[in-house]
Amino acid sequence: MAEMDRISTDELLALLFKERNLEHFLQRNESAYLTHSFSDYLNAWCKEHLEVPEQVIRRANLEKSYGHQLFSGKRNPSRDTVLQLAFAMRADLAQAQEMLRTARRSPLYPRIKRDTVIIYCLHNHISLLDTQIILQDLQLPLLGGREK
Amino acid sequence: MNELKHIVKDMETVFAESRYPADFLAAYDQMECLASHTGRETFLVQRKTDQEMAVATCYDRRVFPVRPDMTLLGELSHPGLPRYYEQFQNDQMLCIVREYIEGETLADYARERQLSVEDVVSIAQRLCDILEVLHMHKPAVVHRDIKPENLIVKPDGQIVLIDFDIARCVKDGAGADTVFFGTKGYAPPEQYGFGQTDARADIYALGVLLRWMVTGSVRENRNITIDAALQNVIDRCTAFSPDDRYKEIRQVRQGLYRVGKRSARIRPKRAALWLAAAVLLMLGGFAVGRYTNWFRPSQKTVFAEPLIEEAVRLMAGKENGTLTAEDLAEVKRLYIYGTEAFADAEAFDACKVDTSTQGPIRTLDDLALLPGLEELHIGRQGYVDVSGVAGLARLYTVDLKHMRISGAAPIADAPGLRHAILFDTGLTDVTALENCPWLETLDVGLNAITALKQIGAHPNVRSLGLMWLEMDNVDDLAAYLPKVQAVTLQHGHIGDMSGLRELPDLEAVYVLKEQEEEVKKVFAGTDVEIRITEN
Repeated sequence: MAEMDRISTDELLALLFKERNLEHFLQRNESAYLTHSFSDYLNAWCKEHLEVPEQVIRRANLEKSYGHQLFSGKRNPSRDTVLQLAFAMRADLAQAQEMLRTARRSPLYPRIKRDTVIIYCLHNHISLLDTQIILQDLQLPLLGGREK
Repeated sequence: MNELKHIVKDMETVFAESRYPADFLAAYDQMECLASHTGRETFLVQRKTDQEMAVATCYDRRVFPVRPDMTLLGELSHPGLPRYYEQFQNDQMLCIVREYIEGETLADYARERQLSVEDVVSIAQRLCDILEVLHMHKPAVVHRDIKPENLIVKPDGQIVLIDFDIARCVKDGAGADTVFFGTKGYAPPEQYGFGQTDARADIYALGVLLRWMVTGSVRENRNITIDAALQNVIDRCTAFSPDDRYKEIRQVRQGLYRVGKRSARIRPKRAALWLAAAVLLMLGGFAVGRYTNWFRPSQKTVFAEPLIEEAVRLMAGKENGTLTAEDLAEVKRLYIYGTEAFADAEAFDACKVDTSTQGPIRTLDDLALLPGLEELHIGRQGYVDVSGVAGLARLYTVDLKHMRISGAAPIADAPGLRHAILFDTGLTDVTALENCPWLETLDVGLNAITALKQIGAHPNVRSLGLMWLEMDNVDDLAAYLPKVQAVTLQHGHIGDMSGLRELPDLEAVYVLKEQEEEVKKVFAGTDVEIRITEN
């Protein structure tokens, strides 16, 4: 994923359905099966979107040194931190789920009220701040309110 | 802003009709879904009152019409088991809340590290401690889903066994398991319907887990060389027929103990081999064996508990070397507190061990090696199987404090017992000690005892310890313990103490300063002395 030839899971699935030869498919998409770290994901995203980590860290409302430790791979993010970064990186639901998967955290689950709010806000590109307001109005724990 | 208000309103409408019990949602916030299977979801939840994290498993009652009583976890108190908190239910769902364990699964833990044989043995031994508690419960509890994903390694290295979804109590005479539950690879043949699962199903899974920790695979692979002693333990655990497996988890632990000892000796042994070769070369054809006893075969005494061995060596005055049968027969007293052994009562009493330091002892089986043992003093351990006390003919003092013991019955099998101090040992019943006709001292303080019938009748007891106990009354005390001369009551509370007045020989009652006035009123007009102690 270090290079931006990265394809999403949905795109990969679509390609698989089109392919008639499984061996060819696996060879052609070998890089999609490599295991990448969460910090690789963050750095690749910044490179692709011509942003520096500071901008993402600020929008995610994370403490600066903690944010840099995430980018350097020295720390593993909590689930809430991954979601804060997803908002900061303007991720849609599929991208946010992929970020959670990469960070080895539980995916968003629509039977949970709090997750439903987050899914809705990601899908509608509502900002992190507005998402927090909605969570607060619904008396649900805010993102980053407690580190697991 | 208006738009946000609409979103909030819509969300409230959507979630107004929830299938989860309303009181569950009122008490806890669902934070994330940790696992989801047909009819069963496991959530990380946060208690609203104090933000404490917990884990809730919710069962769809249509899929799981009958659930085993998970309050069982409440009865199984052990640091290696999550604590049961509470449960909620409505027509559709049953939600059971338990302690959240911080740490990583053994699967993740092992993925990030290269486990040595010592690590593997240590993890397996800790798991044995947990399984022993489950299997010794009456009725025995079989977990039936032991696998790396169900073991949490806490930051302090402690292992916790989670996920009791498919645990079952073993019923005598029951037939084969009718439904397959468990995890392929870890489940034994009988769990596929070949018979009823019992403790040996967990032993099978433990064997597979050992193999996985060593080879990375649950399947047997003879191309990978495993330590021979460890391979033997794995083979015994995973035999197809339950009859060919270890019968009890205790036997697995003994097998692992031997692996651990052997593994610890391998490196020094290699050095010793080089040294021996050098000596032989130097001496040439000198007949070493004739003038030394190096090659004389000796019978080595093997202890299951290294700390007990340390205590024995202290008493025998033999720090190293072989302990002979004569040495062992001479040992009359043992003093152990936490992780330390002491040479005498003075040092034992003076020790100010940090109260959080729990010792490693899990079984007293080694006591069978000590036929002359008269006094046993052990404090601050985890769960200890005390069956090794049974049958010790000369034992007259059993002093066990701050630990959880398997029961009072084995202690009652020491025929000459005179002093039983069982303070803070997790007992709910000591009536088994009624079989000890010579019993003079009985201390049952800080146990789950709330009535005299849990203590039983002891005609010769002179000294009775009831510290930290909560009892409504001690009516009929004179009938149960007619010869009591002294009672300790510090920190306890007895609603109605008038039963104490009925004791014909009572001379002294020990209380704290703050209890003095209340107790003085009870004994007004009698000769009973009220003695104030500091703790």
